[in-house]
Amino acid sequence: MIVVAGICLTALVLSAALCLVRVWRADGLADRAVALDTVTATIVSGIAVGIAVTGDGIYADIALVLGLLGFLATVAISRFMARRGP
Amino acid sequence: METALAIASGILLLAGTALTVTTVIGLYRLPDIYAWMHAATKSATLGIALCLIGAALRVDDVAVVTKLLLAAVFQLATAPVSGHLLGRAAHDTGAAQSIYTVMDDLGDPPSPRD
Repeated sequence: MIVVAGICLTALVLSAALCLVRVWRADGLADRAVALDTVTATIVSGIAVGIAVTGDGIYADIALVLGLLGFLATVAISRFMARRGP
Repeated sequence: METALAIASGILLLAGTALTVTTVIGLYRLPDIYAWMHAATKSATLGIALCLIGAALRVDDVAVVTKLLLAAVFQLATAPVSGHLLGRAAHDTGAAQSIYTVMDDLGDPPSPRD
């Protein structure tokens, strides 16, 4: 299990780093919002891997709230774009 | 039983991680904002759901399992909404379309792209 968790966490950290590069070098608000949404998805997946390897469910609340927060952030950004332009 | 659950959980975690990595590859390889939305909405949602279910198989507390499954259900319910809103906002603000675009349903009038 520890080997699987190591592989998963390494891949997820690399993915999050590449997404942050994407956020940094984005050419527009929508591009940035999509990349930030993917960063949130990566963090939630990493929390799930952490719960699986430790068997400790104290982080489950964080996964739940972070998923909802990512949704709210994307909705807020798209409403802002619809009103203000790209 | 414990071993079978661990193996199933490991397979689900690896599949979810592979889908999340696929999302990032898609963000770099796909041409325009609508295709990025496709990558970020579909594969990332299924990746999160698989990772959360894989974690739920390893926990023996009912409250924690419920929270994890609830997080997966919320992801499956909210990702299409956020993707649709963001795609519509991008189209309204005139985001560029790639040359591979076949049909623009939100255009006025809805037209195949030549």
